[in-house]
Amino acid sequence: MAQKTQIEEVDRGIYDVINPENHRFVADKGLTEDIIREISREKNEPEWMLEFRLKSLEIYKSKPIPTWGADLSDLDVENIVHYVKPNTDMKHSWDEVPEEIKQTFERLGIPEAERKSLAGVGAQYDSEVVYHSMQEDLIKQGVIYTDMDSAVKQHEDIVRKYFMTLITNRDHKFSALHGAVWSGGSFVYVPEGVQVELPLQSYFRLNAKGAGQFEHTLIVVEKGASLHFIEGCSAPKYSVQNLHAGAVELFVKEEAKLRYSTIENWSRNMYNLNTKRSVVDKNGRIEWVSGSFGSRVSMLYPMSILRGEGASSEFTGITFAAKGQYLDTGTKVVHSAPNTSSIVNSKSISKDGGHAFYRGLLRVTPNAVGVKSTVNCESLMLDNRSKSDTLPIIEIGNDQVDIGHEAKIGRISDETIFYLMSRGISEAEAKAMIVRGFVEPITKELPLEYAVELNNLITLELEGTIG
Amino acid sequence: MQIIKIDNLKSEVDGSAILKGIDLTINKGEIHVIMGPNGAGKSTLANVLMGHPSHEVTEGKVTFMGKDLLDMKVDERAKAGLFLSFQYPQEVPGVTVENFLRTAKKEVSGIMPMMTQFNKDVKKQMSDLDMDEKYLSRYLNQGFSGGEKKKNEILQMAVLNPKLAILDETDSGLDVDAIRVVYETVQKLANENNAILVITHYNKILNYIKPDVVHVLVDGKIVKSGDLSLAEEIEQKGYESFKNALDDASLSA
Amino acid sequence: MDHMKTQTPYKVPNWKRLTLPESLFPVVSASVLETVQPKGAHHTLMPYHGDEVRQLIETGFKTDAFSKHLGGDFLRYIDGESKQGHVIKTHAHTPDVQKIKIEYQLNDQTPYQVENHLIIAEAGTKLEVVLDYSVLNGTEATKLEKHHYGTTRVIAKRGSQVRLVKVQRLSDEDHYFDQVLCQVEEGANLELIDVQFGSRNKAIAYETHLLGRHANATLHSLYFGEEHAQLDLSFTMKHFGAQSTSTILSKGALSGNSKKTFRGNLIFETGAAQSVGREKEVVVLLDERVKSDSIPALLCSEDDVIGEHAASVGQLDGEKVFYLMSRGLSFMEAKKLVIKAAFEEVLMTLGDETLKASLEEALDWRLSHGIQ
Repeated sequence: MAQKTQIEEVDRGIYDVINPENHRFVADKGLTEDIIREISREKNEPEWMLEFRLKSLEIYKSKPIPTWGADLSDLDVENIVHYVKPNTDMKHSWDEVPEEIKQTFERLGIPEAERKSLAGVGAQYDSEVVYHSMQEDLIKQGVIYTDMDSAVKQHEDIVRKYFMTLITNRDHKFSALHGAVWSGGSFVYVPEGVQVELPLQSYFRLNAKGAGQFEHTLIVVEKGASLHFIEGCSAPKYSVQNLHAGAVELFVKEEAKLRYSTIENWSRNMYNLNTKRSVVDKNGRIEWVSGSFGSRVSMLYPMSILRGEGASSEFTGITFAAKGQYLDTGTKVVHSAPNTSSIVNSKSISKDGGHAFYRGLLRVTPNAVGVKSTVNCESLMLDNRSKSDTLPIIEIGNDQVDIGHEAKIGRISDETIFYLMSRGISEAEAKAMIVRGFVEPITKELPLEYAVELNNLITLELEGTIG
Repeated sequence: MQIIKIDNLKSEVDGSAILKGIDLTINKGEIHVIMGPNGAGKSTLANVLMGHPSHEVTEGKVTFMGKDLLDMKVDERAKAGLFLSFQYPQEVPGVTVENFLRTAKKEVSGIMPMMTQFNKDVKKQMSDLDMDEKYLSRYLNQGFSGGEKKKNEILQMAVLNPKLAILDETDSGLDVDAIRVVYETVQKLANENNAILVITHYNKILNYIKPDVVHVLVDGKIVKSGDLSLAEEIEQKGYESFKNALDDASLSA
Repeated sequence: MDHMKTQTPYKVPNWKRLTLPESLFPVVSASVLETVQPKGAHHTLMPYHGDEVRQLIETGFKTDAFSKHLGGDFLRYIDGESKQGHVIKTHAHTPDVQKIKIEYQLNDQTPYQVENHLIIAEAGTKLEVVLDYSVLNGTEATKLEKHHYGTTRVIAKRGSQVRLVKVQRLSDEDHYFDQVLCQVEEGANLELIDVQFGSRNKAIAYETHLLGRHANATLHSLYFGEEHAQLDLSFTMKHFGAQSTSTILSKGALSGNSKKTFRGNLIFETGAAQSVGREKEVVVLLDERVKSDSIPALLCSEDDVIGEHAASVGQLDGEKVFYLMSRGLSFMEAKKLVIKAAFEEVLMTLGDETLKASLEEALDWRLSHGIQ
């Protein structure tokens, strides 16, 4: 493949760029009611949002850290500074953004993406959206794409109707924390019948020592409309624990379609406890495309609730657990209406002592007759220091269903390596080819730069093994 | 000029001896055929020459294009001009035939081929082999029938242009028409600069290609070599007589 | 409707997916009627009790290495109250197959059974054990809920071949709790067949450790859940030895208001290189009120293995059904025939014509009752 030379030029260093701290307002360590009020005041929020935050804080303090899944005992949440604001206000065009911040994003490839005529870029830097630009077409079509903080004020009615109704502050400790200190994130509203042709893209970055990321993404796709939203993340290495407890709420109305693509590439000391949930109405469709790399610990289970008749969901995901990583990922699908369907294709790779854990839930309620679902999990282990576990739970509540579930675990076959080498391909490249081939069903669902980024990431990860 | 010289090659698998002293020389422009009963070691010879990790060479020497073949890694052997058409080609999901051909070509020839010309050449080869162009975008061998897999192997041979092509039971799994098409292509690809080694136990393929030498491999050794008439002898007498020859030879040794 | 004479102090646990009855763990006064039919001269068959047995277990069987599937309360109760069971052991160096069949009949005089079995096949020997649990009900007025609690331990020593068949056909108000723990040594082969036809609450757990190289185990499970039946089936295959192989195949049908939880655990420990494990669950659903939960887990710490699992719920072999319907059968009739065929595949391997025939009859009865 022609890309092989390019891939060799990419190195981990790009993602580890650190800017000196240069912030206007830093919240105190430790979480008190006063801090919440400060945050809300800074943002100039309406009263109802402040009340919501305070209530969430109460709930957060009353809930224990979950004991299942990943080991979170290392995470001292109270000492993470939750809110850090960079010293610049919202900007509309690239030229106005301060040099330093610009450079970081430049290295991460955002301007290129912008040039490639994506509809708009929202880039978060230290808990606040810094840069946004919207193409005129979107505005003309009535599509609202802005940061969450602005949306709370400018589109109060819509936001209030949906905000944290899908992921509530009562769900678990980290959703309560999120409700109290959320900041930034994207808000997209697509009106009835509007087809947004080009993918909308968003990019997050975590920088200050000890800062957590609590961005909130809220997307509403009205009846008959369609949208493809891409979220990509990156963060530099730190010795202090870093927490990511974001929330993504997706509302897909009747006959609407939403594709939500993510590549999560948090650096190796991050705790990624992101909650993503979507609810789909009659004949609507949600598609998740998800690549989980990076982070020290991830607990990530995008969930689809198919509550309208004929709704469907498709999940395509890859998880790559390397040295020192515990990636507990999976997907949940709840069929609570008749004639709904779902497909899950989940692949995982583990190497060098990494631990990939697939946790899935497929639930069909008694009234959801005529459900069809296919789940396919495949795990590739690259050595026997690693672990790969699959724990799917299938709960079926009526007899008119067609459910198939398959999972496979294995390694790269020696025969296949021999075959590729017999055609002149070196052993290292043969392994990389096989792994890229393994991941191909996900790569092909992503727009080109993301596919390239994904292949790059894989090569980087593999170079560790083969070196 | 010699393409390959095999001297007293012996090999084992899991402690059992399979090749028990193979001597064979193939020169430029030649087509050799190795025949023999099942279990004789024909496929083993092919795999050992290519460097299959399960086989251990216990004795012997192989010189390929003037170099020590056994000293090279599998991919180095391919780059040196050795090609094996597998009896059971592997499926490689996620890698398209097109991508694969281009990668292999680049590795073996050392230069990345020009896309448009390459595509043209490949499509022409495919049409000669009676292969639908659609196969280019399918994943390598995945879901292919036995016959399609074999044709895909020959397609690779045509693209990679090796110095020595070893065809391991390429006719198995093919219908009569496919056999004809495949071996006609092989005959076309054979020229005075390369060589072909056909491994088969089905001598009807001799209707399609004209070998220079026919060898009979029995119980890990080549017991007799001759011209085309040897093949006719096999057809008439079967392998039994050759097995006896082996016993006689070992008795008198 | 429970006339338990005296209660033991064990607490009824709270399970997440199966609602246990309020009273369990009765005091057992007498052993249940058993008919033992041994075949073959090279084995010993003795009652399970005493230190002799404890010693046997301690030297060969590592109980602590196994999970406590039914939970501590069940295990303590069984060990404490067990009043029957056998130690079945083949004689070393005997080549012919030893066959032992034991039929248990619970009735109103002896409605509770708590048993412990220990089955040992010495190196290179062959052993088949069939344990068949059924009931003899009295008149409606005196009918009692029957309970079965049991633990069976199996040691298949080097190169041995063991087959254990357990058939449960209690009646619809009874309860059956059973666990089978097996150790398979180098080159040994273990075949487990489990048929669950009766009882209201049944929870079974099989855990097999493939300890040695080339150890092999297969488990075939058949079940039919009706009306208010609740089933909790747990099958574990744990690979320790290199080149060990295992297969779990569970086939069942659910009708009425029945509820089933299937737990398939395929575990590969580091070092079980080149092992192959397969797990498959097929469930056919015959009533809109049924509930089917499946948790087919695959836990792997060794890269050089092949591990696969497949679960199919509500799916039917389309080709088969089409063919049958093209010969005039209705969809429901075709479905039933497909179920029969699936069960036959396992029943065929029983090697006991009488048992097979009576199970086929039981299946037919269930298929024709309560299904519209």
